[in-house]
Formats: sequence, C-alpha cells, structure tokens
Amino acid sequence: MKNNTNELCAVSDSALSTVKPKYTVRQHDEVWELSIEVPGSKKNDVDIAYEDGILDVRVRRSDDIPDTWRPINFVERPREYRLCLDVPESIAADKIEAKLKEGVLHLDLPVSEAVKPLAIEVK
Amino acid sequence: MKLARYHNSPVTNPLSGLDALLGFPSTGLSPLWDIATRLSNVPWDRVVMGQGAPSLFEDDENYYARFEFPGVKKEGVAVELTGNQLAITVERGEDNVESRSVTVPEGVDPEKVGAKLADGILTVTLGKLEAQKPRVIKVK
Repeated sequence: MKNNTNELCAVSDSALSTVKPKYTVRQHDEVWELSIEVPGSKKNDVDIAYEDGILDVRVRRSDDIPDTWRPINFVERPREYRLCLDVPESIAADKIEAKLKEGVLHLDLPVSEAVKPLAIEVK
Repeated sequence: MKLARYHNSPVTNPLSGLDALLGFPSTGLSPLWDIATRLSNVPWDRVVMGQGAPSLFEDDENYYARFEFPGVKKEGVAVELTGNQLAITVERGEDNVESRSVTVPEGVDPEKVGAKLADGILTVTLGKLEAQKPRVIKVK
C-alpha cells in the first residue's frame, strides 16, 4: 500500500492544522490491517472514503482545551489528520471495516476472494 | 492506572540558583524559568524520553499536563510524582515500554494528583498548594 500523492490528498507541511498521521500496515493472506494514530478523536470525527483505488481517511480532532485553562507551554496540536493511500485492486474495498479505540483507528482491508491463495488438494 | 506519590526527593528548578541570586522567591514557577522557557521556545519539560512533549496548562486551582499516548489502555499507564518530577510509564505490550519524564512547576500538592486517559490522551491534573493559588484581597 503506497502513499497517494494525488493533489487532492496533499497535506501541506506548513499548515499544522492538518497533518499526515503515523500509521502501520500489516499484510496477511486474508486481510491487511491498517492502524492509524489519531489521538484526541472520537468515532464521529472519522470520515473514510474510497474512490478509484484511493482510500482517503480524514479524522478531526475534538479534544478541546477548556477555556479556563491558561497555556504555560502549549505544544501545537493538529486539528485534523488526513491519510491517503493507494489501495491495490486485490483489496475488496466494499468490505473494509473500521473501528476506533484509544486514539487509534483500525481498518481491516480484506483481500478479495479471487486473489486469495488457493490450497489445492492432491487427489 | 497506577498512581504513586513520593515526597522525599525534591528536584530543583535548574535556574533556582540564579533566581535566588536575583532575589526571586524560590517557590512556584520561577520568573527566570518562566521567561527562559517562553523566550527560547524550549519545551517546558527539560527531560523528555521518547517522543512527544506534553502541553502544560494551569488555572487557579491546578496545573494540567497533557500527553499523547494513542493505543494505550489505562491498565498500561503508571503515573509517578517524585518531588516535582512527573514520570509516566506506558506499556503497550510485553516488549514495548515507553517512559516520559517531565519537570512540573513547584508548588504542587502531592495529595492532589490525578490522571485521566481518554481517546489516547493522558491528562494529569496536579493540584496547586494553597500558597500557589491567587488570593483576592479585599480593600477595607
């Protein structure tokens, strides 16, 4: 799975408001597991789109700082995470499943039945 | 989540000697310390092991330190305050242990330290000692 460099998906480095999140991909025979680090986000903050082989994941951050807190040292946080990946044709895009747990978005990308390795029985 | 408190090994502000020389009081977030960290844009925490410096906030009652720990369950987090050294140890699995240690402002009440983990963000609340809280003085 490659990073997509499509202009629409481009994340500008200068603008801290949207950043590319850290992610890992684990490839298994049946399913690819994609984990994306999105601390500070809730289920309703997640938008996942798939079109023309591009998986576009946008996650807003909703961990607001209370108004009464005065910053002593404020480490700038992104407002949104965005990750675009080229998904190979072997992935059954209509069967992608996602869940958000402890600030990590987990996506299961199942491999299409057609390309799964076949075990051929010897008769 | 484990929460341990120690009172016996005070960690001093590295600039406290200078502060004393210049006649600044030695309690609380010293003026020099404060100015130095703000001007130089040096993170407030002097000792950070691993990635990700915390953000630090305050209100009249507490200091608040916020760390990002995506993918960590609360059972895997230990918070320890020794003097004004706040140590966070995070366990993600057998061989995946991460430690972060930061110096917090002086004047924290060790009896009033709490921690909350939500959506991969750990917020440590450090209650201020009475002497650190702003006082309203009535004009007679």
